[in-house]
Amino acid sequence: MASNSPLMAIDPRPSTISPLDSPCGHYQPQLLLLAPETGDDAHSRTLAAHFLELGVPIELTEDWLLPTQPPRDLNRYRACLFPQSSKPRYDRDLDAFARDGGFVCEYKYYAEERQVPALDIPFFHSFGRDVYCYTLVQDYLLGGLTLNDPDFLATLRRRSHASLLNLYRHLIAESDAAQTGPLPNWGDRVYTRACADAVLARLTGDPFWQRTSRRFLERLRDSVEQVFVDSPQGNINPRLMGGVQTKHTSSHNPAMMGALLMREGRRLQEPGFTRAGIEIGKTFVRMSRVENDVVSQQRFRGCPVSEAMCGVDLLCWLASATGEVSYCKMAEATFRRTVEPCQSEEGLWHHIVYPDRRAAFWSRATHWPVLWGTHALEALPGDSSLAEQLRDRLQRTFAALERHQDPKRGLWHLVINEPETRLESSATAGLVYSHDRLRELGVLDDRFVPMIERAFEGLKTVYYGGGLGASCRGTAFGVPEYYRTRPVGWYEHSLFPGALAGRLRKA
Amino acid sequence: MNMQTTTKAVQATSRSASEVPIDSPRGHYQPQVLLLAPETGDDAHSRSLASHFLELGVPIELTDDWLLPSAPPRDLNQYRVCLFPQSSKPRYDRDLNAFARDGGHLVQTKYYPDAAQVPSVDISHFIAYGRDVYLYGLAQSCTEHGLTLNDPAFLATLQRRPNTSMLANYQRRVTELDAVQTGPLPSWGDRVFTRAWTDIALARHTRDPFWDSTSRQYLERLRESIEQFIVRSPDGTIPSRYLGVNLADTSSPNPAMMGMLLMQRGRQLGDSKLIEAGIQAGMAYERLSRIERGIFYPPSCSEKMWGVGAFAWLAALTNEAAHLRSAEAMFRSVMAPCQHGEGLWAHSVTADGRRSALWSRGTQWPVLVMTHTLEALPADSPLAEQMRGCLERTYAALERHQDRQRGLWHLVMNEPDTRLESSATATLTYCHDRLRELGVLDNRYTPMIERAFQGLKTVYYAGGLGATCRGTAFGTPEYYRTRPMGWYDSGTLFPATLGPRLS
Repeated sequence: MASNSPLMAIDPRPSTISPLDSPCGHYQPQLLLLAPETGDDAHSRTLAAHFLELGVPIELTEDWLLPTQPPRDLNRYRACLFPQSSKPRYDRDLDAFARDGGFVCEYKYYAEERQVPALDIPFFHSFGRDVYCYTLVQDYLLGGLTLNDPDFLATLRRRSHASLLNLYRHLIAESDAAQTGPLPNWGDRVYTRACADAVLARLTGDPFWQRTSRRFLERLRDSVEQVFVDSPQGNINPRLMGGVQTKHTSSHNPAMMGALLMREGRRLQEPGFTRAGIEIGKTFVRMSRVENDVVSQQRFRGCPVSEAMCGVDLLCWLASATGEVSYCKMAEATFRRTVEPCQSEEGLWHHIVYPDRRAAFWSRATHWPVLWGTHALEALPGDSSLAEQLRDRLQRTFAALERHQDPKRGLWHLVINEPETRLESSATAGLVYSHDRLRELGVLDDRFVPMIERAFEGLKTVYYGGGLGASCRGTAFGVPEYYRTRPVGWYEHSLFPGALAGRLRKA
Repeated sequence: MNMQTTTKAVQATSRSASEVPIDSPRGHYQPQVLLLAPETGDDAHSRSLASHFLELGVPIELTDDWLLPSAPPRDLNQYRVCLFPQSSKPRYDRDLNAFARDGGHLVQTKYYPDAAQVPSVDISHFIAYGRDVYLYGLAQSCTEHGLTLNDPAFLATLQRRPNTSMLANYQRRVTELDAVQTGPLPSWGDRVFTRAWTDIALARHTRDPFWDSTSRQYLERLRESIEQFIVRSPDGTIPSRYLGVNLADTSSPNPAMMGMLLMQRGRQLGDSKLIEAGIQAGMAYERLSRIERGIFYPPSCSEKMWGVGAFAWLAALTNEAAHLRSAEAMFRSVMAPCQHGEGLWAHSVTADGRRSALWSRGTQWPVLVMTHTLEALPADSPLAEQMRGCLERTYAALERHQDRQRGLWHLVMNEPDTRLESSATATLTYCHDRLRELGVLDNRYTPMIERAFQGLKTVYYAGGLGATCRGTAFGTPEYYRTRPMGWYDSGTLFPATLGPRLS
């Protein structure tokens, strides 16, 4: 879609017209996609995500959600897509609709999440779901649906920020109500959630976010302390390591959690967070391969990977929190070993650099070093040489991003320099968030503000149910074809709510 | 991988074709990955992993039977990477720990899940999609440890495999499949069509009674299903599992495919029962289709060529001129919008003129249908002449887009950045063979087709083909570029191409 699109600047209306509390009446829905009667499930959210990615005008309720029953006559739509559970109620209506020329896909209904049994293989079902639902959605284009419908996109961009935040708040409140005690998992989703909530707490001053953010960090701290209760040597449960089952190797998870706890510990003046961050950070270093002060994961066997910037962030915070110079040296060496091969001349980042080839410019391969570089700057003295180099590399990255932003939707692509790949939101959200932090830190001037505001507007067009559509699923390292074909779907955790925080008053 | 093309592999290809076939792959290349099948033998997951490694040209250990081993044939430290099924954990966990300690590479999850760990789900393609994508990721994770892509010795070894050994593999697979199924075929569709023509081609080329009886039995089962669900259907409705469609009053190409197959084979065998069943299926297709202003809907997709084939065969066997007019009208409504100026085929063209990508099977289907339809038409008819022109243009275009290193075509044929795709390559090879027999093509494309055949041998595994695109809807260009791929068993025409290449 994007590759075929005529170059068209983003509709400027949303920034000048007053925000909308409801989408109803502002565009002409062409498709009636019903959620199950009991409300959205993973499949209906994924379908909504794919239609939003394509810019197909789907019917939305006043709450910007999928309806659970038809709000008007079916013959007002070009196409209908209902869940399997609605068959007893609507089968005749759908037959009549199809007879009258309306479009219904060959399967007639979509399968619901509850038809898929739980499975203890990470990503297996979510891959199946992403691809299955994407196929269904594509089939609906036969129904003559409009791609990138201008009125629909303008409506989504005019959505009030308070309404976007309320939905996220609702999602978080629901998810936290069901979970207490030490966090059961670590990883990028914990990291982004904690970062988003912390910014919301800081910028809104809302007691809800202050409480929520602190509680989440406490649960993270408890899970770190539990590691050392369970194993005085600090052997980390594979679950917390993101499913790593191999011995003597780490994942990024302890580094992420360590840096996060130290940073928030300092901000909140909470020594317990800082202590836990130091402990788990040191464990990460112990489990890593350290050669000439370069800290890397054993499994990469010395290949530079852009995600090693996570270690740089951690080492900067360890140096700052412990005052130990050795961490500073490690941070500098790891930074050099990562940035030189991984960041291209233009400024984008390769995911991994093998001895004989470089991986694609996968979207998150650029987003992660920018995010961790941004957070590392907070730990460094402003006049340090590493801080200076980091500022330069981050500037270069944003300059490169200017050349590759999708002109129609404002997002970046799954492989950033390949416009024929799908739109990808998680990196776009991370880049907007990082830009905002870098503006606060005085690292960036207003040069990139128009680009970032276009990106933010673009993110609003794929926001659904408190999460983001068009988010790439977890990704290994691989050949260019691998990155180009990653499944994309709906994710509840991204840095988009963090990006909202600074824009609440503008809306 | 595909972008780093060199002429080296092409040279290796032509060299290997002239080299003596080898009965066993062992000793002819250096395996870098030990991928174990479960102890009970290959399952869907191990086959899918094998498929991904073959597509990448990564040298995996193979047994004398060209299959994955189910136990390590030598010390683990002879490999760079080990990837074992979860079920092997009790037996090999310590060995794998020692292997990793000594610098060998394991994926982070250490094992891959056995297919038995995944419960079946009654949602079309859901599990296959999950499997394809999940295991492609695992295979990619293995490449972190500096595996060689498109390893020349490994590819040359695969190309030297005797064609008879591949056929034996396929024969075993078919025997296994047929042993568990009797009675009317439980579904119709392109896999039935390709399986049937594969067996027929093998019966003709090998003169082996096994293939003759297998192909006859298979057609008989198809005929019985037509008899049961079309001829004896009181109200003319066909169960949705045969149409692959849950909508009332709607067809799919399935009855057209089945009708074409039965009519053509019935005429070849002089079997009036097959012909009658074929006519019934063709008529059912017409009855269930939506016709507006003489045009069958949806207006423009290359797969609508199935209808052209069904009507041409109906015309040939019923002598009704109306059917020929339908065939001609449908042909015009497909060819004009769908065949790209260069000769390849768009999968669909929307009402507002938006052409979909040149998906590999978007070109394969019209070529296959036209090849089988030519036999129904008088050689001097205008429709036959137009078809020959279309086919010639298609093969000329294919010359420009064949992957130079591997000989296959790509998932989107004119986009070399997309993955290699085997099902269309197999069909285009099969059709070329048939068109040569019919005298439609001369030997201009033979070198290209032989490179394609050699390429197919590098992704052949356990009776099926790796690098095969899963079922696909119509969609945006991004959709086609990102289709999942994996291992398919009896759904391709590759075994049919073995027939003329056995000697």
